[in-house]
Amino acid sequence: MKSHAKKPLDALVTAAGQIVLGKENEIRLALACLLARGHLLIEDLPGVGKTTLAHTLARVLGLQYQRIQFTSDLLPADILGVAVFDQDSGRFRFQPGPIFAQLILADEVNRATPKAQSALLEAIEEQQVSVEGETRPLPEPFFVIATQNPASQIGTFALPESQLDRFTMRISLGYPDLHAERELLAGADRRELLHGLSPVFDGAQLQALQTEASRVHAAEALIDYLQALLVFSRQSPHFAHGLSPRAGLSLLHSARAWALMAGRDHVLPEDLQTVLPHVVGHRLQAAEAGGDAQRLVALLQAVPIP
Amino acid sequence: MEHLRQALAWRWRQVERPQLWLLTGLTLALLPHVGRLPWLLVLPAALLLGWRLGFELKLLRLPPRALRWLLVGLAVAATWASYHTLIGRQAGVALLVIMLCLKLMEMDKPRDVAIVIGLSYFVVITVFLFDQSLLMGGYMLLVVTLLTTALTAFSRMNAKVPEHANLRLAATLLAQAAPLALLLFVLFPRIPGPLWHLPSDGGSAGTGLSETMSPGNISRLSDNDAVAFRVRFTGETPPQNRLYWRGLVLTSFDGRTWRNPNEARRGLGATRSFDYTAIGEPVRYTLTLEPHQRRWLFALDMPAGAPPRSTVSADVEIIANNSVKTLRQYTLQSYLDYRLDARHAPRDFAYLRLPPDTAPRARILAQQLRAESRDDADYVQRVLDFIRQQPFYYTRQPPLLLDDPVDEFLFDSRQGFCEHYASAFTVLMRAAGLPARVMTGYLGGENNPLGDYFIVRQSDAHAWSEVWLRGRGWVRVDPTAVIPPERVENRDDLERIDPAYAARTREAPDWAKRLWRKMGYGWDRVNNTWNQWIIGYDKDTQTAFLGRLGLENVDWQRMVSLLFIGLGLVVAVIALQLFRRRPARRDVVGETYARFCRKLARHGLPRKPAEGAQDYSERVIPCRPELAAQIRHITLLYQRLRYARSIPRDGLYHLQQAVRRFRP
Repeated sequence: MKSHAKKPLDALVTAAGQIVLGKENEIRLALACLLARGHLLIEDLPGVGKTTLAHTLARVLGLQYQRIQFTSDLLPADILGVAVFDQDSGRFRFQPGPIFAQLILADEVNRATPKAQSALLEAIEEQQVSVEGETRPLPEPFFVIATQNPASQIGTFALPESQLDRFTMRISLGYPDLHAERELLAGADRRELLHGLSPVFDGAQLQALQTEASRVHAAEALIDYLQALLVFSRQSPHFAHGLSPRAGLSLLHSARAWALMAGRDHVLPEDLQTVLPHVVGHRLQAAEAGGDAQRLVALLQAVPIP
Repeated sequence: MEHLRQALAWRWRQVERPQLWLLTGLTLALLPHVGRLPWLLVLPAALLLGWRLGFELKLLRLPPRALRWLLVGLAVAATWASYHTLIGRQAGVALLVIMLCLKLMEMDKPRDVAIVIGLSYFVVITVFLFDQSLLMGGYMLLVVTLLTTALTAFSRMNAKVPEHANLRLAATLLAQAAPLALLLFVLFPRIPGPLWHLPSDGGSAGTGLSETMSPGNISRLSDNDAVAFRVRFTGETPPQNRLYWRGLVLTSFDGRTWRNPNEARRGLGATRSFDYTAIGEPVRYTLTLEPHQRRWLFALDMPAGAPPRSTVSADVEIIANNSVKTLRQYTLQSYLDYRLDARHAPRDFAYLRLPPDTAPRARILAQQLRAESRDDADYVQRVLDFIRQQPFYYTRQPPLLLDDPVDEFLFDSRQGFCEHYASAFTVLMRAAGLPARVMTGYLGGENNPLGDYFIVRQSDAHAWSEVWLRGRGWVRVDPTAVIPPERVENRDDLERIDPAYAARTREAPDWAKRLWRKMGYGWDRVNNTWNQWIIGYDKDTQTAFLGRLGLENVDWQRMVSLLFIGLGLVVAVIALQLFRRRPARRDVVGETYARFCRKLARHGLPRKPAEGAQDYSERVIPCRPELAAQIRHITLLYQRLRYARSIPRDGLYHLQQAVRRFRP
């Protein structure tokens, strides 16, 4: 009954927790998102540790890591790569962009123009890059952590709903608690610690776990519950629009990954409920003007379990 | 020692539980037959059962084919040796029992198991050929439950369900069969008379009166509490001291023993040869006679007719066409007051005959008293006065009378029981030339206040005399009744010779005695109901019962069609329920868990609709920490049953059990 995956995953969370202090739950969610083969959106104020989290995850998971700082003048080629003329061979050679890495941190993704944003999002959706008529696959595993500043900040291009939907989860980190902050202030430099961190996993191990997560059993009764949630979002008058089938799949995959991390080989309604706010929060819009997505999540959480 | 214990425990675990159910059920089914079968068959049957158990314990092997054939031959031979026949009730049952036990020696296929269980059910039926009492019925219900459990256990052998689940299933099956059984019982057409003629090998002497009377015959019955018959009066109940239950007339006397001479004459259509004039209203009663293996029936003087399938003899005995081998119920009217047509003295000298050379002293006394008397009636009175005035005692342990019982009783010992008095009195009558005869039957009866009916027991057996007086015909004279109470040795016997005595003296028994008596009445009432409605449910009762349900004049064709309609209805109801259950059945797990939630909700801890089982248990446990283990167990089982890939073995059963036992 107990899955053997729990122990290494716990070790992973512990290792990451030494760098990102007091954010175990967020680390777990990020990890679940990764195991569900999804992509993560972190929305928070600058300076709360988004970059550190991404970097730490890359480190402990033993993944190649690339960071793309999105700015308003970022061009698609800056992400994907360009063909440059090689004088020695007399031919154009493809210079891969930063997207050709296993873990990408797309920092402040909403500061770039929509053109650059969609270049990134198309690439992660297709799992490949097409430049100059040639198609190049992206590495495996491939995981994007995008961060964005809250929409109220100056100089942002909000991601459209269609693109938000591509992120499996959205989390926010928030300020550390007193204890964690004190440790942060009094302890050693995070960046140095990060360099001293050795990987817990290699890429192959992670892929094996991703496969295992996809095989976690979702019983009829659980699918019933999931469907009840989706139907509710589509029928309730409080929702501007219902949850998409992709949202449903994301929910299921995330819940599976969460169950795996809890050491179970089957999904419980509680798994679904745990990941629910993070999976649907960024996809929901209230029907009334000025409505709050939080309230919609609360409505969904009140749907009876069949 | 420890080693041995472990070895035995290991072997015990090897026994397949269904086999154990079967062996237990079969053994219990055979048990009531043990007293009836000869040891020549009981012992081998027990050995064969033991052999099978040894085989199940992996201690013994089953016999090879040749040996089995030899055993079959021996079994048949033993049955023949015991009964000199292979058919009939006793021999047939014996053969069935021994062959069934032999079948255990080759029971290895499911087919054999089915045969053995089916035959075991049949053994249960054969038990009722001998004993139809309520207790036996209850016992056999238990046996049938065990056998059915064996059946369910064998058919679910691979399902590995817990054993008590098999027992419960069997009980459920039987409970579901009950309405069908009831319907068949009520509506199955009854054939008047026994359904099949029991082979007449069962003439084992029943307790009760016999067709002869000699000293010690009836006193032997005096502490026999067995029920002879039960009577329910419709209308007024006569006083107890008038309840002379007439049985058999004994006419011929050989000096010691009184006999009924009519045995040879029976069946020749001898009917009552004299008339009577009824005075007043008749009493009406229904009598339920326990089987006594004889042909005569009991009635109060003077029966107004004979019940069906019986005749009234010239001596006013009611003789049934067949001996009473099963409970027999009949309704009669009797005139307690009547006047006989007494113009002609009985022509039969049998009523005067005395064996020569017997009772010489009694004859002299008779002559003497007769000479002093004005007429016959005065003579009867003088003889009764003689008994009253001389020191005659009433005792249960009369001294042994050797040469001439009548003379020795009348002049030497003067201690006796009712048969001594009746016998001596009748001899004195005949010696004086008065036609006289001895009557045997029962006197009085015990009123059961719980059911408003009378219980007449063997201990109420009585003997009295009848004398033919000119102008009055046959007159009942009970010489025992004249003995003064102070000469009755045992206080209980006062009631016997005068049933009204207890009522007169109003002795107050202590509470334990009262309670005991009351319990006795209650139990007898249950038995009486059982006899009336189950055993005595014959054609007449059936017609009456159906009439009470509004089905008048149901002939057997209509009864059969009613039966089929009823069966169809029952089956339709069951089918409907099965259909309706199907959709509901899909979510037994959910229902069971919901029951668990309701139990907690009753203690102020309802589950929110959107609350998962895990969250719920974590919320509830801090409130009821003493239930933590149970709640966790139930939650885990529920989660696994509902959400896990592989469903745990017996999971649903365990969940249901856990929820049933869960008492917050």
